[in-house]
Amino acid sequence: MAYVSIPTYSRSIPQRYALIGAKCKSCGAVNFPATLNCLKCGRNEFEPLKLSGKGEIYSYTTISRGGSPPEFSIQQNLVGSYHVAVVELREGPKIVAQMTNCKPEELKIGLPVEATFRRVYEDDGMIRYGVKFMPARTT
Amino acid sequence: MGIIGYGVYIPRQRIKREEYQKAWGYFAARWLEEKAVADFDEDAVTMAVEAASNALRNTGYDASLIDALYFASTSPPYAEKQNATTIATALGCRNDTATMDVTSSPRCGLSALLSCLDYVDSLRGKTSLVVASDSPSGDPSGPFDHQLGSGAAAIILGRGLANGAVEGSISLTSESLGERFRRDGQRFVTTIDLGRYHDAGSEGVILSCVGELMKKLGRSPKDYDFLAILGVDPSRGIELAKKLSFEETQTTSSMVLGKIGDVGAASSLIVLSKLLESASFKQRLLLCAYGPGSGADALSLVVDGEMKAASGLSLDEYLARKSYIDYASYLKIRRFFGAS
Amino acid sequence: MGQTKFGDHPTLSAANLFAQAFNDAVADANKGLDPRLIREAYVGTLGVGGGQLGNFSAAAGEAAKIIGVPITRVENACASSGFAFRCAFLAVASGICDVALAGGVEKMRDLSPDRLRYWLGVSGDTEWERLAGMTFAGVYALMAQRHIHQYGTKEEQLHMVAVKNHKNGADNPKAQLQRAITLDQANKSASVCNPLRLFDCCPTSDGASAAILCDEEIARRFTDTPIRVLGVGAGTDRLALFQREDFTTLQATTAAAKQAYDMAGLGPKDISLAEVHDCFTIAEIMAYEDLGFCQKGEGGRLIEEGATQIGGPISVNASGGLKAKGHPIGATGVGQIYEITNQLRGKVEKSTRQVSNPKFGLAQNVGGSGATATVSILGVREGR
Repeated sequence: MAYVSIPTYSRSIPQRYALIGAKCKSCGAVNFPATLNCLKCGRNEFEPLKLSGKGEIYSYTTISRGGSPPEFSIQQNLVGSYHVAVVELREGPKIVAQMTNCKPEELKIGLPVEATFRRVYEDDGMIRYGVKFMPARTT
Repeated sequence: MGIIGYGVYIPRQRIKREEYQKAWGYFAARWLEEKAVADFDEDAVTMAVEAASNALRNTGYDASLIDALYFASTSPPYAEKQNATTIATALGCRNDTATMDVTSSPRCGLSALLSCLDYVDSLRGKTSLVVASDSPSGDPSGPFDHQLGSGAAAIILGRGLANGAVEGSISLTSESLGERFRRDGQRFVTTIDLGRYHDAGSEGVILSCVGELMKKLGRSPKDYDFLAILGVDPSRGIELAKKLSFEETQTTSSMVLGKIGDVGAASSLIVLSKLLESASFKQRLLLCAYGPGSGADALSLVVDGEMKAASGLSLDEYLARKSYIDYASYLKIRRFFGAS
Repeated sequence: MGQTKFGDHPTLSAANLFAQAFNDAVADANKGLDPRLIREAYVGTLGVGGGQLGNFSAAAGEAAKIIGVPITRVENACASSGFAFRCAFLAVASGICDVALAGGVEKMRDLSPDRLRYWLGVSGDTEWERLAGMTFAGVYALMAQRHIHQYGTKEEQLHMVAVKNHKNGADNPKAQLQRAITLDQANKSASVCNPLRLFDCCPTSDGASAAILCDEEIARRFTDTPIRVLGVGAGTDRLALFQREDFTTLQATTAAAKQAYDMAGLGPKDISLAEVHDCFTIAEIMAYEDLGFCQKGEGGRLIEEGATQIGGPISVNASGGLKAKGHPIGATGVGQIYEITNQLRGKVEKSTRQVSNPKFGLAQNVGGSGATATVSILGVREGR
């Protein structure tokens, strides 16, 4: 059964742990996750930019019990349904991640949110850390 | 040289003593109203990242300025694979930042702080960060787990002018058995309840530690505005403070743990953060952290500048952001059902 | 054309399931067709279950007894056989062969829930979407939320698509789900990924489909009722939904549709019959807009007006769609063409589903959350 290997996961650790984006040296667009070629202009020279983790919900849904990918079977068994959102970050790019510390009735398009560091799942015996989003505590 | 600033993190989920009473018919920790519970996707490392990140935000420091990052916890997620490295990476520290894990005793939060101070004092670096973060577990069918909570606090230290000037410290070592321990490979921290026998031991160490530090610095209780004793129940801490001739008004700070729980290595730094947040200019603080089967550390410092958290990130605001859970949820999210 | 019933085929292997559809297709050529005339074959399959990921083309060919000729497995997730069809079309159009085979097959019903959940997620972005806990239904739910937000589409309109397609499927003996449902049932069914509920999601299915294409000069040698392939188009888009500019449209569909319409010399107004890719009901609403059957944002209104029921200005998913007919991933695309062909010939299994005198039919087949798509336009008469 294929899965996200350690090298694949580790390649993106600066993005997953610290939200390091790639600012295009030619057109200034902020790419996230980092890509080989700028999504806007196609060139491939970047400088790293640590994103603030602040943004707004662009879209969201709740994954009900029983539906999750196998990486999240244990989570779903323990806590039931969970929320996932596409967040439009202040710096421009969009990211998809789970929501946390959030009641279902709080979820709406446009909700200000911020990133928080969490355990996302486990595989190969290693804890896979990353970010989830929660309603913004501060402006 | 000393403390530049602090940051705290308290998880949102809380459980009240009443939930334990409903489940077990009793609640063993008389000093505790409710405690903080790490969520299923939190651990000592995730909470440390949040606390350290808040410390950076509160002080306006960038992670690239941190020359050393020390992580203190009795419940590190990895027993082998350095946890401080994950934290440093998540914060965006440089790759020539010195990282270290400090563990094995609730005292280690303060021990790590003292070592972290040494890092800058010895000129190895200019700015360092110590983060104590803990989420200890006891056997859920026994009384010890009742008092155990989750939380984290980080302190940024530096050379030169500091907002919290360190006057001195002392570290004592004292072997004792059975008071609080966890063997390698075991999940639950436990205690052999020897009542007065252990009380006598901890009393001896704590009184020596505080007494000798004051003697070393030529100070007496009246020179201090606050004393905090960690590593014993807060009510015992107040008793011991009285034996040292401190007034009760100087010692109530430890009671902040009454809403968080016994947070192992993080207890001392959370209480220190509380003191820094509420102390005023020129107030003097003495902190003593006792470790069963280990000894104790003590630290004396003077507030030389304002240290306030950024909006939304103060300890009071974290304490106010809460969501109560019932006992079944507690068992599930603490993963007591064996699903790691 | 040939297609098995979609649903459960526990005793047939994927290769033999394909062979069954193939046999039906050969038999459908009512003036006789020697299968040895087939010189190129394209088999669409995702390979769910991983039973024979490598060289499946040979396994399928062997079961269908067309060993020896070039057979290519085509994989573009749920658009696999739509692309296979296009490949067969290009093979004949290029002159490299006179007769080509296109089809697809999938077996999904013989996996444990854990394994199935893994396979259902493979067509989306793995590194970011899946690791954020996203599911296939979840991605379409994100699209639905934006469609509701941007255009005021109502959740109930999504359920109306399900009601229509279940009604159609009830009259399709080859459909997996042959049971009509009420709007009330759909509205109250369990939430899967809000706003999508149980009846907004297509089932998992076993099934196979096959189409035999040939040069139009020789078609009447094999059948009295050849159907012309007037236009074929295909397109792609970014794999991960969150990387796209607009969640309410599938650029792969609009690109494929433009190519197909241009090739056929037709426009949306000429189409009275369509099989669209309703893996989730929101996808059908978006398809109305992307295929030009209505303006952007008007998809919800179109279904509510009943315009896409059988006999309406445009009959969409008369077969029951993926919703009720089923969605064996690799087989769906050519399965849509099977329905269009039967409709154009006036030979649908149950007359209640027969659209009266359709001239042109359109099939839209989408892979995953829209990373790939094909549009095929068929007709009885000259399109140009």
